[in-house]
Amino acid sequence: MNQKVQRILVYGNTIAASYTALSLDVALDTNIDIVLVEPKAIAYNDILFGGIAPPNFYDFHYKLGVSEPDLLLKTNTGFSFGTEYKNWGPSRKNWIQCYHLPFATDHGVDFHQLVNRLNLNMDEYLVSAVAAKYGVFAHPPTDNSNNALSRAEYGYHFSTQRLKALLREKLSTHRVNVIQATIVDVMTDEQHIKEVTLDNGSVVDAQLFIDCYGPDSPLLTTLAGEFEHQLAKQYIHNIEKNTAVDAACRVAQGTPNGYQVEWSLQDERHTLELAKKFDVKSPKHARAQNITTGHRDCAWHGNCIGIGHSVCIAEPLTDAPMRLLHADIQRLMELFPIDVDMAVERKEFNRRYQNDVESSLLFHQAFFDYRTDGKALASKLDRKITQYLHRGVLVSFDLELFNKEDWTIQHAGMGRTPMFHDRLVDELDLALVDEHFKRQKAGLRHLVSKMPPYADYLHKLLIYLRNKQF
Amino acid sequence: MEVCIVGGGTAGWMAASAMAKKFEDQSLNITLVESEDIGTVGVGEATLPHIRFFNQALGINEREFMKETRATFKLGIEFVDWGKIGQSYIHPFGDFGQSINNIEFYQAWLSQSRSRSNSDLSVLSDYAFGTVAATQGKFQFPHSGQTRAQRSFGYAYQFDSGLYAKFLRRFAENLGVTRIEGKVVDTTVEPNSGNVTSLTLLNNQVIKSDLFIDCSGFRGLLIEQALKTGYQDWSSWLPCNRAVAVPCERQNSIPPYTRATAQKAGWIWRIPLQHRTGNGHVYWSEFTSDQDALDTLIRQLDGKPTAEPKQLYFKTGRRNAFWKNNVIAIGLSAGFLEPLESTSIHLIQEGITDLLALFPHENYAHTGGTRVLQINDLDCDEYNQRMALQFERIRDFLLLHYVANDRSDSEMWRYFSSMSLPDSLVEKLDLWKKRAYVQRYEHGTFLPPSWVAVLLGQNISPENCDPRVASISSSEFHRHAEAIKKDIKNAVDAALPHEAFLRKFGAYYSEPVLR
Repeated sequence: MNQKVQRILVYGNTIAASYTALSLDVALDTNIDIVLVEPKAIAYNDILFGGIAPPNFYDFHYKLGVSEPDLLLKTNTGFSFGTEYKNWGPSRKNWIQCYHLPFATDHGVDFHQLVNRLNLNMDEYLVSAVAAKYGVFAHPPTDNSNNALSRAEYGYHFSTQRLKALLREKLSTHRVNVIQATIVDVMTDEQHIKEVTLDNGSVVDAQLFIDCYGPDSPLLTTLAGEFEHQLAKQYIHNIEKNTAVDAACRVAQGTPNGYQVEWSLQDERHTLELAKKFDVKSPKHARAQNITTGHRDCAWHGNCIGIGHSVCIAEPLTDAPMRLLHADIQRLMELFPIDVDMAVERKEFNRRYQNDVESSLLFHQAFFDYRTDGKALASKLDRKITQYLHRGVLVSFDLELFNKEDWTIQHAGMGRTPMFHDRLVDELDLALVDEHFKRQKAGLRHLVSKMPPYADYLHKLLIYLRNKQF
Repeated sequence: MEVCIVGGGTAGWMAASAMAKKFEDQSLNITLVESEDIGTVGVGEATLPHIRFFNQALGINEREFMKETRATFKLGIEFVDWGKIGQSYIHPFGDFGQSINNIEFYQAWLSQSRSRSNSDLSVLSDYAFGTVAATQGKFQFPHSGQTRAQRSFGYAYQFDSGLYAKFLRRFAENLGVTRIEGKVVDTTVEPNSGNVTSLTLLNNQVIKSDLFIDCSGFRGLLIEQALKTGYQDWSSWLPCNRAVAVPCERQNSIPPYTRATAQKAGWIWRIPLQHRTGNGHVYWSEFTSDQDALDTLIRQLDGKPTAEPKQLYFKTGRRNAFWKNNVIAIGLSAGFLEPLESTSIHLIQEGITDLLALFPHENYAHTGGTRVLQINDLDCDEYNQRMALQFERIRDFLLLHYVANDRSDSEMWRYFSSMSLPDSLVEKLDLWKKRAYVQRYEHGTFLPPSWVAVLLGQNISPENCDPRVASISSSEFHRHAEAIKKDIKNAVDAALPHEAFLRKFGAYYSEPVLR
């Protein structure tokens, strides 16, 4: 019988490391040792997680013992209905890439087919987008499906530093041995890590090493070298004091060299600008940081698994970085190795990792795909866009990170118009359907007019939670 | 648009009904050509739960449909002698138990059941409503359940597929579908487009159409004989190539499940209907003769045969393309997978659903006085990709039954124990054996609970289970498991016997009383 995994070493001072250590702490039996080695260097690159987490982080946090009140009171987290794209692409498109529950079919026809046929602006019929546009917020009711707001979903805007601190606070002090040190040497044997030497002189061995260090990923690099797919970029991150809380929505817009995203927290406003290369002569760009985006072919080599930026630095144009981080950790939990023979788990982990990375890249690349017609079916992205442009078919692959609603909203936002529509649309009395949509639009407008401004809602919620707490 | 369906079995009339209903208000003229001289195969008498959605979409009354097709309810399939001679298990429609601390129930059950002297944990099937009700011969609708455990199951039907075709024929004809009796003796293919443009019947009647749906069965009259699409032969993986079918008198009580009993050179199905039991022996001709196969089947019947045996010949596999030019193959003309998991009608349904979603638009060219429908390659491509994935994933699941077991008592079983498997299945088996992990996919018919049912049912015990289960205490698991088991037991105790339920529901057929 092979030796069981008895000790895990997690390395990094990143949000990925905190999530990973806490997830292992919560999920695994207490007879497995968890050692978290935290280097002193702060992981500046964590900002590339983009400050936005999708709706499934509510459940993810809950399972880790992190409640929404915890998040709101102990970090400066805010709510997010999604990301608004402004003046995007050559046609300067504007839309809100909002979070939303599955779209209902209407008159037996898919929602997007009717929107396309009637040439409507999809944003005006999605409750999360309308609420974000008007700067209002309220928690979607869970006990009243007749309320249009119940179809909305929301995620979070967060600060990585504060969120990381909260996650660290939740770690069981009895269980997780936190060592503040830097790894200075990695001892390997046949493509496996045997032990690491810390800068305090101590040596730590483990059966499983988890590299959450970030792009430099020293453990994985020792075993597998650098990222196979690299693209040099630069970024500038600004934080300003918030004078007023803006909408519950991130904003993304193109810049001469790339794009920038902005998001608002309870007391701060973050701006992150990415470009291939900034004009270094410009004083505005003097603080530009270099970063290599890209990904590894495999996230698990030997007995070392990479999580987060150690394996894939996805661009923060969308919430892909946090979706990938969540997927990394979920994969780790489901495939946590039984023993030191990890071949079976490693193969499956890498298969799923590749699927997730590909899926996030498809969604990202589609933001820069401005084709208006197409015949090509060579790649998965071709299939997705060509089939949509042809007749509004939403091609989907197994277990994608971005679902059909995400793709539908993006297609509509990017102005992709199918050449043909569902045949059933022709059977409908379009004047009646149009009337139905007008009522729906007016209903949503009315609903949001009754919702409180996001800033007020957040302010009062925080007061309520503080009073309740004490 | 003129649409012509060739073949009037289950596939033909399902396609006709679905198209007529979906495009009820459109200028679509549907003609179905069938010949009473050509029999239908009708192997797919047992179905999967998805069939309910098909019927619902047509607006079919469940009670009337069941009565007319002599249908019974189906909660799953009992597999006898598959893992080992003398053993059986039920593959139910639904999950086992409910997750505990976000870990699948079966993982926790595996962990507890191996570390125990815990005989009170009994078997995993105690935690699935479908299995418990099936073994007790009872039935109730999922929506009648008071708790999640009592509602977490699906059901399908076992019916006379010939009567289902007749039922749908009436439905489709009421919606304007034209039926033409006749035998196709010739097809005309327009050389530039490659489209089939017309059929000639034995009585010289010529039927022109824009789009053809080939439901002609194994021979693939249009997709293969006219368009030479080619066939992917999968018999190296699923080598059974013949079947003999014979109905018999029904049993006293009607089991709400199908049975598949493994044999030395194949397997025998038993499908209980209201008025008879359908039986058949699927076998590999390499290792048994037709007569021996028939004798084996007759020996195992539950009652007296009620008709002459019907012999079937097939080759497992699929067409290289399901949709080529203006011909779409649906049913046996598209491919054949043995009905071990009742997928025949399901694959028809999948084909129809995808066809409706990708139905060609009316765009014509005129060549030499002939109107030719312009088929967009994008529609064909998407359809072919979707159907290929369905076929391949079902193939792997069927193959699992043959290779995941302890049998080596005949040539056929020894063949399977030494065969090289598709990589996709090897990966799945490796993951299961190492840690009871089921590789998930989104697009496919059989979800993880089905894989768990077959793997555990056929004695493929994993070496380990998910390490996270160690954080669940024995007492916590027992409380959780006991509550589910009790919940299911209470519901099954209160449920009616299957036949009584059919009668109470009003789905039971009774012969007209002669005065």
